Amino acid sequence: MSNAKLLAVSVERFKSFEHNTRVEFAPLTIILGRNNSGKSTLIQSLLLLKQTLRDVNPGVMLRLDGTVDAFNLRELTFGWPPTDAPRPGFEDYPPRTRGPTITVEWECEVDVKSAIGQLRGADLDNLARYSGITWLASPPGHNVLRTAMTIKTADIAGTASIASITLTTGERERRTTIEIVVDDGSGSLLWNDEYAGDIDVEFDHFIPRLHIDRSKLGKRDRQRAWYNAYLVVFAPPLQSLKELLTEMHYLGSTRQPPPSLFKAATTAPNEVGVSGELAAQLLHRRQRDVVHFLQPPIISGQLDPPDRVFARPFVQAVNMVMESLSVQAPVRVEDVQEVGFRLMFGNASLTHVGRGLGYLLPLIELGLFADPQKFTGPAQDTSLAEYQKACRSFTHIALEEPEAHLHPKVASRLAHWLVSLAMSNRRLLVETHSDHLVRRLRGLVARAGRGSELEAWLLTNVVVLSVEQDEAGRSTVTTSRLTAEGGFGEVWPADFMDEATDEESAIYYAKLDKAESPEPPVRRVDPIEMIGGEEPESEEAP
Amino acid sequence: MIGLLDPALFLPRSDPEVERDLDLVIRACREHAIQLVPLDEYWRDLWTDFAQPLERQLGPSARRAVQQLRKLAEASTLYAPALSSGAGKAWWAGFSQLFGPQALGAPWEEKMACATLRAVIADREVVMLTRRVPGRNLAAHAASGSTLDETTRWILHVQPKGIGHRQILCIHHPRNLRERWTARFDWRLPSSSDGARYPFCPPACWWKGATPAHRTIESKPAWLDTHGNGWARPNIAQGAGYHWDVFIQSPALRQAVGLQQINVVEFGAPRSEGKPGQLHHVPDAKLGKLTGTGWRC
Repeated sequence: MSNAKLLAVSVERFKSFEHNTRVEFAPLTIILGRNNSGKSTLIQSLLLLKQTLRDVNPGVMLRLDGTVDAFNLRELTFGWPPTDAPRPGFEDYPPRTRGPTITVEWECEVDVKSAIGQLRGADLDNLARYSGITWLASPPGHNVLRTAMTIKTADIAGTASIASITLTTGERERRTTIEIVVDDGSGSLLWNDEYAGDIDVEFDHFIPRLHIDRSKLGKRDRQRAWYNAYLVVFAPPLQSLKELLTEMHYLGSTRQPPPSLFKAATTAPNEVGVSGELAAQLLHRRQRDVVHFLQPPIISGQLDPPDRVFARPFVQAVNMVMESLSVQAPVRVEDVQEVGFRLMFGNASLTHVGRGLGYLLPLIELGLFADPQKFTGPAQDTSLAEYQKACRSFTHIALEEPEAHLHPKVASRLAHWLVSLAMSNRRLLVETHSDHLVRRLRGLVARAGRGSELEAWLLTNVVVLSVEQDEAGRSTVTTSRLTAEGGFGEVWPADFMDEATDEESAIYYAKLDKAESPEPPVRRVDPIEMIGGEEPESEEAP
Repeated sequence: MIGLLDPALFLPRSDPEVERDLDLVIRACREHAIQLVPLDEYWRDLWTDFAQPLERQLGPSARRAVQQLRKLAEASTLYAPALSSGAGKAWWAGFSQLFGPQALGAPWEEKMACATLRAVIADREVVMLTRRVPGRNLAAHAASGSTLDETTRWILHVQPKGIGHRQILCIHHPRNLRERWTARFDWRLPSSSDGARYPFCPPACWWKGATPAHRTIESKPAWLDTHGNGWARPNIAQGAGYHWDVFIQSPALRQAVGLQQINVVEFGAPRSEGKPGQLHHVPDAKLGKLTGTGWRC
């Protein structure tokens, strides 16, 4: 389980994002925008990397089959460009077209002591001097490293390839950069712009692995120092990123129609599936295994931050969350001997309950399954602080329209569930069209007491990305945070929050217009008399 | 309590102004359980003639304030019997000042007078929820670094048949109903109920036009309290002064306090500025003379 946190992603020339666009992520990132504005693209940039890592062949640098599906890389490139004509003198080289650039930024805690221990007595001063990473001279036991990886892609003769990879670490003033120029599946390395001819680069998909033949180099050779620094400063974060992306969960907005009878899985699934197709088997196999979840915030009187982390068997946990979302039909797994099992909501099977429940169940399961301590942690309830202390790792969840088919009340309460997940080591990217959900998020922060813990958490840890597309088909993103009054700090998402209330206004005014006109004036005594002159002054205060 | 909405609340202006003014009305309704009753006499025309055009030009945030205000009225369940012929009288001066063509661009005096009478006949206290507009019900006085915003209409007069003369308080801030004298005087003046050591004590008959409310003291426009003290508000950008310059006129009070001018924290100031009605700051040279004795109303 990765302790890495995804902090930001930048995309350039990727689908509708022509210019380099960087968005920062928070524990709860909400992505809003009109249809076809480009909001899915942000998540797809990560899914593209995730599906690539799932390919069994590490030589595949970019995989274009899966959740993100394309004929070729040019289809994913802004404007779907034609293949570039070869430059004069390069006619014999395969045709090459510049593809999208994706940058991922993340941070993770690295066991520096252990990594340095594997260097077998490396000269740390030498390491620090040549690598440019000064803290390596006197390394701490652990260090939180912030790393960025920029992947420049290219379509080479119809194959999705990588042109170069840049890795950076450190703060702005003391940034260390390695650049790997890729050619025909192998790479050559530049360390802070200096060529490292004796370091070989191989790839595990798009993740570079460096190799060096130590026998060729002196003990204090700078290339040896670069290689050793890579093992401490880049290799562990890259491993964390690989785990982060591999373990990242994604649940789309479509669901497959459930069968009336499920076949039991032979092994427990490790996900709910992008359409929730494995949710039933997962629940069946893991129904008695304990998962941990933070009680969603409850609105009753004062809105306090939730603090209790429940440890419950999977099915019971699902039902507790369902109830908190105001869904009153408890789910149970009913075995059908030697045939399979059914999922029952009350007395109705999943096939015969409303579609909303079929959509909601994978969503709830996913939130619970993303518990970093699932099936292994303590079997008793704990406080949030204890849970976080024991966890030390994070899971990332991307959700597409989680409100699909949900009643407005449930969609509103979904905000509570998302907040409780984000407070308990799940980091969420949520693409939504639900004004109910977003309004409730605003409502939570507005209801939270001024200066309260919950208010502070929501103001700091909820980010709203508003994606818009101009007439030329270029997408841009505006980032906003909530305000203590329940507004948006920077910009109100276009045409989003106010559709419902504006419609109410329109109905109200239409009602006034439609109402029968007041009776035509009849000659009658005026109901009141308007008196001129001085006004009376009372001895009594008004 | 029944509240009637001043059409001037819906006159065109900037979004932040609309939002600020309507937020005050919404707060007043919430804090004082004011019911906005959609009385036929004015309600429909109010929304079609004023609110609808305004709402069309507003951005989302201010638009929500308009919608929220309307929602308050939709929640009203109060029944007010219709006016019969000869239902009562209303004094023209006040209604024409607030609701005449010069104020609203259309003659609304009778509509508002009828609505007011009908609300009074429903046997509830009635308040007019107003917006202060310069030249209409607000006169600004500025001199020597101080400003004074004088409310020029704080009461309307009606006389429903069989009930007798009624004064309708015109409020522009939620505080106007906790401290009713602030409907005429500045709502930021500290009061005894704030726990003030140096409160503004309103004149005994503060609501009467004949009672002087302000005059120039030390070249500054100043509110007059019952002790004859003058309260001038320093004209500091964004209201960041957070205090009143209080000029003590009575020799006895000067002696008791030890100074003839003190700086008193205004109501509504941030907590860091001190409690309302306490000393805001005392120049070092004056510190020794200060007795710490305040006054009561």
